[in-house]
Amino acid sequence: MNSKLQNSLLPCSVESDKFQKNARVHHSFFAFMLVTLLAMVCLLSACNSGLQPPAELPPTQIAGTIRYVGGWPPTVNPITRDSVLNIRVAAFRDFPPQNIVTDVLAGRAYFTPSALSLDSSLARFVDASSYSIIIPDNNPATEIRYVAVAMLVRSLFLVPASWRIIGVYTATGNQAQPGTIRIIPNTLHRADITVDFRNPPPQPF
Amino acid sequence: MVRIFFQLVLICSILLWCFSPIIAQNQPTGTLAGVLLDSASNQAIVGATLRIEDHPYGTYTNTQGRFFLRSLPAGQYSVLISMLGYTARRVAVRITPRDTTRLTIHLREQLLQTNDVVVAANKRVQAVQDVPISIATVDQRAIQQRNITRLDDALRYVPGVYMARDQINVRGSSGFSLGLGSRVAALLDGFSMAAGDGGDVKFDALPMFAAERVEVIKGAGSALYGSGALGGVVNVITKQPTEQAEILFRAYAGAHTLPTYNEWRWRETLPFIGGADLGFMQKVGKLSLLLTGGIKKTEGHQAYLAVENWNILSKIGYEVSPQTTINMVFQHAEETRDNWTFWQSLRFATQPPASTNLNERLRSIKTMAASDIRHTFSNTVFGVARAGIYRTNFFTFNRGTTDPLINDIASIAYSVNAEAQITALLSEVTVLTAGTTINYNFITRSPIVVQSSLNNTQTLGSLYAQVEHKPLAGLTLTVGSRFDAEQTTSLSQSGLIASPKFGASYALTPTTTVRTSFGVGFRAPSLAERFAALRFGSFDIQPNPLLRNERSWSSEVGIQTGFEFLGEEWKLDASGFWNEFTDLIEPRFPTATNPQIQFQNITKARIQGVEVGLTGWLPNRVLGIEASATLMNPIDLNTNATLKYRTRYLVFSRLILPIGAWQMQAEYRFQGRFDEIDNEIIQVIPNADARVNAHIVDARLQANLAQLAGVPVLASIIGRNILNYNYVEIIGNLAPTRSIVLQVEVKL
Repeated sequence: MNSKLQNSLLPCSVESDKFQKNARVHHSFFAFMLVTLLAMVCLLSACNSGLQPPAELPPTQIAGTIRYVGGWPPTVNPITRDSVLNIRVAAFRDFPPQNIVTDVLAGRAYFTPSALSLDSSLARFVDASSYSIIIPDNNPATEIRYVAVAMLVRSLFLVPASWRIIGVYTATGNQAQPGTIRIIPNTLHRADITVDFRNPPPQPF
Repeated sequence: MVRIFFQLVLICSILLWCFSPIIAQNQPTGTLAGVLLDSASNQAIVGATLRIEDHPYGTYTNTQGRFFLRSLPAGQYSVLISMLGYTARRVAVRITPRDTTRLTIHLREQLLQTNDVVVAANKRVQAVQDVPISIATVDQRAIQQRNITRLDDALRYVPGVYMARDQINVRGSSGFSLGLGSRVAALLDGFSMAAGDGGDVKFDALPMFAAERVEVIKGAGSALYGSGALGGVVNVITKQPTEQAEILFRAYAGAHTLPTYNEWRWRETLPFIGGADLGFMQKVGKLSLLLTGGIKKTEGHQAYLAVENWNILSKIGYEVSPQTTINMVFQHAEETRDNWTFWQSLRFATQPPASTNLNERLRSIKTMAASDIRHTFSNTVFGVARAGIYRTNFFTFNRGTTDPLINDIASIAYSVNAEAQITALLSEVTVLTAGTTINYNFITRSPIVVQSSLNNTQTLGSLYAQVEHKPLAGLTLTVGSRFDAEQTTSLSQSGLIASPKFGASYALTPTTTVRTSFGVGFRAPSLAERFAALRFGSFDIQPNPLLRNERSWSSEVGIQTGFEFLGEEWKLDASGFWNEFTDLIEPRFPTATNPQIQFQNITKARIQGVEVGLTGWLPNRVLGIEASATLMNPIDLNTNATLKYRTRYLVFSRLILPIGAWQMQAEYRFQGRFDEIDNEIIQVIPNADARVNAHIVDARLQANLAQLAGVPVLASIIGRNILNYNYVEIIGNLAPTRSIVLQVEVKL
């Protein structure tokens, strides 16, 4: 067998007695100072405590009331098989938009409620409801050129063709002429919308 | 299924016997006997391991610290003696025919983390000096001192390793993968613990209470471990019963402190953390037994993050003959948790999104049964055949009910593994390790996969061989390769996947070893990555059957040296590494043109870096120091940008201050922020760009009541993140805030 195998893995000797009492005191002091120094380094490096909630400023938001007139469609339309599955308001930076799903995912539009979930919807089958859309600080907008109420008619939430525009914010009352909102940070912008099921707006996509 | 399992066991057993035509020869034999003592107190060391290097012989010290190895063929051997808490030693002995060689060996106590002896590197026990790759270990003492209950918690303290939620990152190997797939192979006593559906690691299924140590191989390890060992290997080695019966009880209770900021205070009372484990082990005659079980509960540091779990493990060993041993392992773990995904926003970081169904909970059940047969064919040939089955079951349900939610996240999957391995000492300086493996994955129930694909199964088979050769004193060369083939039904078979490796280590001096290695890794996409149609938050994940294997190669040069400084022993380990990855599978998030999440072979990447580790004592052993730093440059070669979800810097340090029966410890971990994440995910997770460098300070105080009051109790106060530093390990998830627990361990 190789002689190298005679070597111990690490030198292994009995406890040395070369350190005298004075040396022990000196080394303990040295250790204490080192621990203190390292503790200070750790404390200083971590003293900003990391992440913190952002300052409480009023959100930048668009909010308003949606008034539904003309009677809600049936839960399931016997001809088109459409369903009233979900009601949202979307605010688009550009007009005409590409489509509701693509623009939301690309950050060019904002959705309400904020969660992208099939379970979340504005109230359905009511005469009126309120809404609000937060414009996030990390994806701000200077102008919103198209605010629309959209209805999900099929369960394929992320398929653009599943959405119908049923109401548009307008300053003139003409739903073919969407109103533009100039966005001021940390300010609430009102935008009331009327949804007339008998007179739907033109579909922009 | 059971039939398949037993067929695999049979095949492996036959292969094992076929591999070993060498019949034991009649040789003159002698006996090795002796006693093992603590160098300071001269007291017997009980339960230490003595292993004859490169031979199939080994034993443990008995209750008097004595050991006997009878019927040893005459010759010269190297005996490796290791014991938790002591510096391992290597002793040369000569066995003479019909005689007894007697030894008195002293071991020196070592409070610092050492990894003198490793198994995972080459599938057998070896001194770390002979291993040409970087290895780190976390031993049971560190597990106990840190109140570690899950594997991911243990790995957070390993230099060069960090966690990105469900992903183990060894030197930046893994990114963010929605909990599917693992680029690090996880093993329990050598048995694979990758789930049959997602190929992921269920961290609570690897019982830390029963662990002797956790070994981490850094770098591609597919040459021995096959698919999954793309970035490294983690092997949890359970305790080995000795003749001395041991009953171990550990309990802890404490709480998270309330969040720093009022906006994050989601409750008025402190969230509870607690648990208890009980274990028994003993070897009686030919039978050895290890039984452990535990229960844990945490109310979490965020709303909707409560977790309850329990687990049991049994390991039974039986010596059929002096040449043959059978081990059987059974493990079962259940966990029920709130189905938290990500925060509502940074402003409300401890709350889930408003649309979350707060009644929805996720239950996961993990069961593993495995067995191995170890047989010594001759003085120079020994082998092991092992087979195991791992069942995973998870489903979501509404609080107050036990019925799975319809059409929601759920899966029942099986992973069957079998292996036959032979180790042969071809000459005094050459060892051959060879084997064959088969892995069969299938899903029996799952709304998460496309129903038409539910019948898909995945089979991986392999052959591997490796030769270690010591042509010169101090020089160990390793060369080997593994050949895998993968077949997923309904897809065309993969070609032969070769994973070669090469390594060399050279002892320049008795205390200085240089090493270099090169290895290739691969990972076959899991069934879930190919066929899953599941939900992440509010998004659908679409299947992609066309996924290709991920590939990697890693190379490393390193040096380990021991030296004397200020009159004490110090150890320095430094390495430089270069890893390349191709066809990395990553989730592609919704974009303007594709509104779905899909796993795709997207990334080609390069990670270069250096790692330095230092351990030692200040004079007179007044203060122990462990420190390491890992600097990495992870580059996405497709975009030349920093690789997503990777950090560039990791720092770890620990100070140990022993004062008689007391011990104080302080630990500091630093993890650099992720430079890059998916931009698209900002639309999915509010404030996903809220990321900071992480500074985590832990502190603990331990009292050994055996020394103070004569009772066999270790009592500890353990504080984690004591500065209450707020950071994220993965986007949209506040990492655990400060917690303080009182832990008591009774050993009888």
